[in-house]
Amino acid sequence: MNDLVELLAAVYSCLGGLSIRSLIYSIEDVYVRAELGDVDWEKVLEIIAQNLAGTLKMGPSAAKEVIREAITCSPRLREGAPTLAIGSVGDEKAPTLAHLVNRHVPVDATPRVKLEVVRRLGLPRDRILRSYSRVVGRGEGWHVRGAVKSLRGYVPGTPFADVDLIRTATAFRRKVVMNMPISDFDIFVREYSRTADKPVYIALDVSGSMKEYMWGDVKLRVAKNAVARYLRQMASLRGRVSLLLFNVDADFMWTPYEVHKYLREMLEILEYVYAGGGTELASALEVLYSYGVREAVLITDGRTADVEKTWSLVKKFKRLHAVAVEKSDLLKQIAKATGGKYQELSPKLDMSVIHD
Amino acid sequence: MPRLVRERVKKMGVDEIRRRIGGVLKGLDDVLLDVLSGMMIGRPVVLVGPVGLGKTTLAEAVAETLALGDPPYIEVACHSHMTAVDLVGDIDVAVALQAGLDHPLSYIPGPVVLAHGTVLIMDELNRLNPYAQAALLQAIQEHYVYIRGYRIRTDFVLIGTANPSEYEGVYELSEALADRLKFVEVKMPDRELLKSILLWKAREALGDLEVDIPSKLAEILSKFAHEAKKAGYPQSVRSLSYALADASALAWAQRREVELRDLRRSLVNNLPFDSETKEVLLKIFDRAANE
Repeated sequence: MNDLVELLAAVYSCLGGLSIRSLIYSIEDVYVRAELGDVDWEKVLEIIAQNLAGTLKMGPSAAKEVIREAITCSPRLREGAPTLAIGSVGDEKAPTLAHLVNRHVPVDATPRVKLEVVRRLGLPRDRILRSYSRVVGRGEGWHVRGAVKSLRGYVPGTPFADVDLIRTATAFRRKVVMNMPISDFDIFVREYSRTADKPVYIALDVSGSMKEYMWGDVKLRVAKNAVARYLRQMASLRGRVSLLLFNVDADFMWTPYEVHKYLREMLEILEYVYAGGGTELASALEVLYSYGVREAVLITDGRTADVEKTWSLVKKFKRLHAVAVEKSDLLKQIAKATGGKYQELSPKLDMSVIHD
Repeated sequence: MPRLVRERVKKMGVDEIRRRIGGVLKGLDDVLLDVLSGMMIGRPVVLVGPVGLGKTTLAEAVAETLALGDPPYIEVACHSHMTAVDLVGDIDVAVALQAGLDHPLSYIPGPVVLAHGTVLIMDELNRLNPYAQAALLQAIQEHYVYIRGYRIRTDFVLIGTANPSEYEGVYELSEALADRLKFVEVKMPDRELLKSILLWKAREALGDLEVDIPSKLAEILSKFAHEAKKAGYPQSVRSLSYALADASALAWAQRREVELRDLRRSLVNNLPFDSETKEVLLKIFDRAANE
């Protein structure tokens, strides 16, 4: 009897989600059937299939083939079997949205093309926050688009909004007091620091652990909102951003593209991003490194399967900023080792500090 | 109930049951044993297969042979408009008002309740709609049904028949129900066996008519059935045997020997397909006949 039970245990562990009731009945059935008439190996398989056909939702003969394969548990079958993808750390393979999309289009396709593919995949859509569209300015004045690098004199063609009114007014006032003619040089124009001249690579963790709740919301959604806010800021900074999704494997959701051109598409793609699978930070670093990237932002909870491999890769990077979804010493150390910024994810996180 | 079946099988002996069923059906020995073992462990059995392979006949024969109660079985032909009330029965309000609820006539039992202590044969089980499936589920699982608040005990052995899901008008069995069933596939018998079955059944249909059915025709017919199955048109053993009997009867009426053209003609009349499919099938038949 033990052989039969072990056989069924193998089938159960391979296929997963089988009804225990049906398994018990199939053991009983095999024994009763053996009482009634001769039973060989094929017949045993057939009887098990007859009892499991209902829970497998297929005909008895199809079920027999599935069970035959399940006994040896070929990897193909394991992949197709339904599993619960909630594991936070592990090597559970689950394609990310990026993997799904890149099956159909080249990796460096524009976000517009990718969005079209994403829409046709028919995945559920998760609305992200629409607010926070106002640019958070740092520096002085109202219309700051980035940090003010310097002030310069007026040259024809400068946008009106860039004029620093306070400085200009002061200069005018001084000239008037000094009874001197006003010239172009008295009009001060701000020059912005275009910090976003280099493309920014964001590696977003979409492993199963991102489905957990935090701040009364799903971690992934909080992270997505933070990325969306950052994208809007980068749109006004006219920067280029690339998004990389990783769980056990990593792939580019989109390669660097001008955010101000593709903001709408990028935000919509972001809404379709889902979580599932294990976590392997090293995979993301590996892909980034192979693309010649030396600076990146990591948004992850820092639960990674292979810490040593991660560290050996981290050393090859010039700068890694870390946005920790939960307090993580590993991420703190990574950020410190590469001279990057360490932040903890919160619903109001401003990711653009990495440019300071 | 399973205990009753086990005792019955022990008392009769498997060989005796096989012999008795063999008087009605041939080539289903393996399926019969599968059905019996399912009944003995108390698992409802569903026979799956295309029409005309003897699924219902087998179920009836098994029930008759075991004779668990009197009558030996209750048969329901399931259809998609069946309601739970159709299955479990209901209280006749008019009688109940006049004679009171205690009166034996105030309750009209449905087949599920009538089958208490015997076999319930549900023909075309997968044509039941989800509502009726739910009512059946309770009866299978808990062995009682509720009728207007009254709990009525009913314990029966269920044998169902079902067509594969590619047939029209077939509902998916709900997951909970499918999990409780054992599905036994009924397959087309192989060529030699099919030939003998066809001959035997055709003779039975002809009765005391003195006709000699050439075995060559049965052979062609069984070859045709297998070719047609390969081409994607599974044939019914019932239709084929009647076609053979029909051809013989036709020849007898004209006082001559049965010929191939008779068979061809009766095949056209007996096959349940539309005209286009029939043409394809006739081509297959001609090929089988000329080989």
